[in-house]
Amino acid sequence: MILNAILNGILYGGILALLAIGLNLMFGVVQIVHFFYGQLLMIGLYIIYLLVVGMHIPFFLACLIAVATVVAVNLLSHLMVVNPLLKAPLINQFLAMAAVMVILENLCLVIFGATYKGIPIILPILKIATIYIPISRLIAFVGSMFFAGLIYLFLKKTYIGLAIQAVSQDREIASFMAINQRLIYIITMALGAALAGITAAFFVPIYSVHPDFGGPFTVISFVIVVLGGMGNLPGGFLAAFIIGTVTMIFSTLLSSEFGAISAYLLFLLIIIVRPQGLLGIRART
Amino acid sequence: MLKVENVYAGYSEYKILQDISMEVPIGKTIILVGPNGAGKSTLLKTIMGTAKLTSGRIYFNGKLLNNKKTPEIIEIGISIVPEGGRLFQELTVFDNLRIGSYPKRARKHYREQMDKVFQLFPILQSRQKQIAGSLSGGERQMLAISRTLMSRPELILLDEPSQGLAPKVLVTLFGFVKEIKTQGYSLLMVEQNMRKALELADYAYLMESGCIKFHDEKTDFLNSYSIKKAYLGI
Repeated sequence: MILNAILNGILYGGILALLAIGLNLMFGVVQIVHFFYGQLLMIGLYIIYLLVVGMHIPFFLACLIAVATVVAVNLLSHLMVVNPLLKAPLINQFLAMAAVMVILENLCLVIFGATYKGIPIILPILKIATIYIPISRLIAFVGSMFFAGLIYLFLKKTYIGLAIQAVSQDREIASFMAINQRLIYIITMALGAALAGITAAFFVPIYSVHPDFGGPFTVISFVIVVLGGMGNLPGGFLAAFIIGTVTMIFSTLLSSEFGAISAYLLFLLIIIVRPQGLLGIRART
Repeated sequence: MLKVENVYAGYSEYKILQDISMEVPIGKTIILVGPNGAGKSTLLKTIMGTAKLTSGRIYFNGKLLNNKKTPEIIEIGISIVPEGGRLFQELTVFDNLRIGSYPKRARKHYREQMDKVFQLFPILQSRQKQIAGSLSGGERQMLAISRTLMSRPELILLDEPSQGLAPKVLVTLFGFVKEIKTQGYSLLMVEQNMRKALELADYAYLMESGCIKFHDEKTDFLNSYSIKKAYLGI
């Protein structure tokens, strides 16, 4: 039974890892606390629901449109809210992002109502000896790892990817490399949102969406990002698996509430002992 | 090559540079010396576009540079080795060099440029995969200079390259700068270590309180400087 929990925990962690990468990128590069990240995920799910159930658009096309929409929403927020406030006091940034979060949630409440909306895609559960693996989670895991791999290659092998790393490490000097900071911000915001949209696509067979769907995912993404070391991508990756497995193990042994309690308790313990996170370095300027 | 005419510049309304005029002829090494706070770094930053020019003109090969954005200025052919090197600490030596060739003018030639850099500084080749933050002080300056070379500049600005280096390393550092000089680059160097810098210079400017107090060719500079110092108490 423990083995089952660990395996499912790894699957869960892998899915969270992709979300964490999106948040980490935006945090490291643009240096904003993206309070409505979970809401982007929620919007992605709602758009897919609307297109597939409401307009009978084929699933894959709906996913593509959803990713594009989520990217558009984030870029719009970037241009109208985030960018103008980059030099403002941090508290202004926090509150503005929180305001966008409330607006997005309530918009969805108005448009879609409070009931859970799901797309009836039921996938089988794989049974190997005593291990149960939902195919939906397996696909989500494989897909997340695939996109994580793509992001890795992008960051390491392309000039823009290298520029993104440079800006997140030393913004001022990056401009001495002829890097256009504004452009890198926009690309990073688009990338972060795209990862939320892609995760939404993988979430379709697993979750039903409702206007409060985003909040817990924002929190858990932040926890993973901070646990791994803010802006530290390998750290976030590792932290995602730790959080995923701990959650699953205690969910299985006790209950899903204890799954959450254990994960967050572990986070608190680690962060108190090591404030910079697992792989984080001391505070950067 | 570079002409600075009657420039007033600073970071906000407070103007640090007062009526600065100087030039860097092609292939020459020009140094700026002077006490702390004289505005030497500010002049470099103004040329690079990170400090605001409020009055005056800066020309590069006849092109007016006034308040152009920094990436544009780099594409035109001016690059800077910033104070302290300012490497990307978490990237490898190789990646630091590669990001140096980010400007469009440098991208196609990055392999060629990297070979040149490795010929100049073989240690960097052997340490390619190492994280920049783990290099020694002298190696870091080597990498900082090389990263700037990767952008294929015509004019290289150096902001206090000797800062923070042990005396033994200083000798090697100025050896690197001499090497760059013989490769034909035009250099504009800000230095506290006047004596060492003057060995490399073709021409020198003395700055103080945002003004150019004195300038002359290298050979005459030291002599005249000591005299001025005695009489004017600079």
